[in-house]
Amino acid sequence: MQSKPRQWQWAVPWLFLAPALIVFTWFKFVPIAKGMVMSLHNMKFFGPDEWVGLAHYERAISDSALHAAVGNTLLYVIVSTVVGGVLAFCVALALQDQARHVRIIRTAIFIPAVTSVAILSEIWRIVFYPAANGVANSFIALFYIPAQSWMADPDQALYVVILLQIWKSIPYNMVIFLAGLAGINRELYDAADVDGANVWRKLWHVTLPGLIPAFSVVIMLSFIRGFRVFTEIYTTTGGGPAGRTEVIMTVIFKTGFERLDYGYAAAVSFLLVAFTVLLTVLHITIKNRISRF
Amino acid sequence: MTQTLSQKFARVVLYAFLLIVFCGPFWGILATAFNSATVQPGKLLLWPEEFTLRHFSYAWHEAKAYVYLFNSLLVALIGTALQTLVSAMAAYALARKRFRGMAVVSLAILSTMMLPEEVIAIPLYLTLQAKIPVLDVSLYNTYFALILPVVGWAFSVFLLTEFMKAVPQDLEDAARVDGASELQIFRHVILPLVKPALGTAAIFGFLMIWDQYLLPLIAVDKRELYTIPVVLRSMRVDEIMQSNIFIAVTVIATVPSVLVYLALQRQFNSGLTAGAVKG
Amino acid sequence: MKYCKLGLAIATAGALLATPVIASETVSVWMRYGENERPVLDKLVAEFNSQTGHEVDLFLANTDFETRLARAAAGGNLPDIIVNDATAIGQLLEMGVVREIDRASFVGGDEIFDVAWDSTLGPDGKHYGVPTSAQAFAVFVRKDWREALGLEKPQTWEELFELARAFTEDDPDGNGEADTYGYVMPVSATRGYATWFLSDLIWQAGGAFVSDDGGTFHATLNTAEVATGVEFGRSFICAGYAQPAAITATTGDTTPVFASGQAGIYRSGPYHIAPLYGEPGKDLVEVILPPAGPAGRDSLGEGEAAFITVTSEIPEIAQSFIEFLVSEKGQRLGMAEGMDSSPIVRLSVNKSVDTLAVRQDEGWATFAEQFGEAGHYFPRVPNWKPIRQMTADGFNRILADCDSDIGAELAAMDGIVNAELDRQGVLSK
Repeated sequence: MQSKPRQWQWAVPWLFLAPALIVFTWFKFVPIAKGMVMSLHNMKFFGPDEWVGLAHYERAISDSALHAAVGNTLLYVIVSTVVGGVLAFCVALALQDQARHVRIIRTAIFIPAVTSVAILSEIWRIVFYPAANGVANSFIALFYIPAQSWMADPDQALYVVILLQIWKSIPYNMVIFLAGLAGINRELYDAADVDGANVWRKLWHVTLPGLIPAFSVVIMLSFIRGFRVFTEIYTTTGGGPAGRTEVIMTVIFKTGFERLDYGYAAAVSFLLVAFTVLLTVLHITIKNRISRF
Repeated sequence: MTQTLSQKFARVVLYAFLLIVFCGPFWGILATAFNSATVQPGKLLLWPEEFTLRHFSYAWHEAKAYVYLFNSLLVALIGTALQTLVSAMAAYALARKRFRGMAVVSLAILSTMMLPEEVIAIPLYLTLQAKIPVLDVSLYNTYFALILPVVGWAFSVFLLTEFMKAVPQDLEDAARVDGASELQIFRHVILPLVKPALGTAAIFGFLMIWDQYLLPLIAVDKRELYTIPVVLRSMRVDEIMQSNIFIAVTVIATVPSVLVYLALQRQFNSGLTAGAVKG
Repeated sequence: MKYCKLGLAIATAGALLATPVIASETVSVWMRYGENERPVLDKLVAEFNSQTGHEVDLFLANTDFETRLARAAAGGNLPDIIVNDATAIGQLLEMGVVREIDRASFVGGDEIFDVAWDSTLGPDGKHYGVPTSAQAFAVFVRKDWREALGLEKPQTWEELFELARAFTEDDPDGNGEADTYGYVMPVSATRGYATWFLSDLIWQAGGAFVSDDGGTFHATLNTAEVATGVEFGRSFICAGYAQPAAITATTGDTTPVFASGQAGIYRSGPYHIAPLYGEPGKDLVEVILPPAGPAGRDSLGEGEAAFITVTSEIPEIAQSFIEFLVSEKGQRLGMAEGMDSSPIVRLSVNKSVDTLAVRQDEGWATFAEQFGEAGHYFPRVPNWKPIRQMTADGFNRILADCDSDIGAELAAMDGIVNAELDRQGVLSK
């Protein structure tokens, strides 16, 4: 078994990357480039598209409906990431036991992650039905809290929808944390025990550092998914009531795609991408700093 | 590990709570699917008031759920296999190698995840319609159109890269000293050590492909090639069909996901036990 | 002599064989229907084929119709014919994909109701489509509930409100629980449902969305009449006489509300007669004319229309298919006469078709009466869809807050609608 001669070493990474690069270029990069071109035009369905340069981008920046949606989206992302991440971590910790019954429970609670968003939205509408006999209202009645309107209430709707995201993502993120927990070397725990560390110190010095890749993945995903959220909101509240759950994507959908104004929709989408890319780069930089330390 | 009675009790309460919160609603949905009459919106049944199988029968036969189920399965199984393989290879390069252009490739792949898919719907449609040179056929209305575009998924690459990075360098160096080729290192050293991540990537990949709505919408217009999400949406807005049938189709659609998850999860669980034993 | 005759026979036979047979063409048609309508459509296609020898390649989609069209247009794959809501004409014209129809030379054109033809007029006064179906909205009521409470069919707004109150508070299904509601209202902002639903009430109050100043328009939402209509709609929600979660409900959500017996009053179209006769049941449901407001009992009149695309290479044959669709035979087939299938024609646009004779149902008769006497189409601005969406967003805001200042919100909506009318180039100066 010979390794490749030195002179071909440079090709190795590219050969491994090749299949991925082919697929990505053919079905993602090229269409994205075309999409960028589209964002600089007014799409005409017959005849050549009309060049408008940066007009769509300018319009996006001054669109007040979009501003409100950006605010909602930011709230959505931050709350769902923080709360969802912490809760998923706790659930993973609680369920990392190898006992058979724990494995079964782990498997069982993964159901929201394997179900289509259509059904999850139905479930949410049922559970948070505004009437007094709705599931959620019946539950809080046990604590003498009066029935709430949930997604029919302009002030509560966004939080209820955020809760859907959290509920849905906990099993998903839990799996990632479990994979991370599995990768932590048991010897480190043993060494900590020898040093007389208690549960919290072990958590802080062994578990959390070992979970940095897992946290990184979970946070990244949550951000990326959060900014792009669409279906969950469209199928539960449709952006209402009174526009209080409008997010970036629902606005793009209503003012862009439904109106067949593809140029504008593309422009706003690319602004969203640029912003998310920026966040990602920031995140990676911070993560690298933490790892080093 | 010995636990006090109160600790045990706390655990039981916790498990029960988790089960109710995460599984409870689905039980209600299942009951609705077996219920004869349309259920009042907002009402979560614990047991069908009038048990019937006719919604499932209708969904399977008249609504032809089996056709769409087959399509979804074919696309998701093949797609997941290809996707995991391609992502693992790419992750190997990004995690274990240093080369010029690495950062650019990384960022390029990652940024595809941030793009709302609707933006590239029209360009992707045009790409699928275009005739491939030499072969002079287009991918449109073929299974290829449903599978190939999802083989590239940044999340999968990203996840596997992160976990491959954590493999200790010495293991790789040792293998190299022993004269192993790149492919052998990839197959026999790295891959086994990231099995949990592979299982995870496969599960998530399957779910992502299973749930795809936009791609089947733009890739095919022949009804025999539709996948489940497309049909589900069509049923959701259908005001004439009884809503219980829609629920029944969703239940049918969830079964394969659950089965695949159960199958892959056993392998993924073994990764967890491996970690425990190793320590 | 014998050989001459034989020769003549051979020559004639040869001439006949050599004459090119008129090639059978395939007309590609996209229709915004689903699989429920498939049996009726198959029959129509078969009948057209036996009459003319031409084939029809049918594509059905009841979701994402416009986005699919847009993609097809971008890729140069448009069909010959599109059958869609008549209100889609605005978007189709903006895309520039539909061909002008010459009403004068359209076979059977004079048999179609004028008001139906009006729905396919473009801003330049020319027709760009042919109406194929029509309907107006009326009200379904739980007959058993109404009779159990001893109430008459509501004929005015006040009686309607009282009926909704009674259905909510007086336990009409007699089960001892307060689990019933009055008026089912889909007023989500999604896809313009709020506007679609409130339009009846606005017109019944004497209001109007825009004023037609002879080719140009301006918004007229900020009037006392419109405010009255919107306020009436809001009163149901705020009194609790509408179903819960009305503010985010679409028709996909509201039909199960009525069908499952959660509420007892449902404003809808004739396409719901068949499913509602199934559940909750034919004896439990009646169709009534919309209760009248201050200015009458107008309700939304809508229809489907067939359009020929500019890219069609066989426009005459395509037109012949449409002529078949609106002919008496085509309309009766489209109404699923004698079949157990969802129809593609609700009320016929053809004057010579007696809807009652085909349907033989009181419910249908009520819808036909409403359409004939008080059907009110949406304003014929160049593209109604975006205005429908904007006004729906505004109405949703008003309905979401029981204390909201209706006048202020309507004034803001006027501004937005005028901006859109300006963008469409028809704002009155």
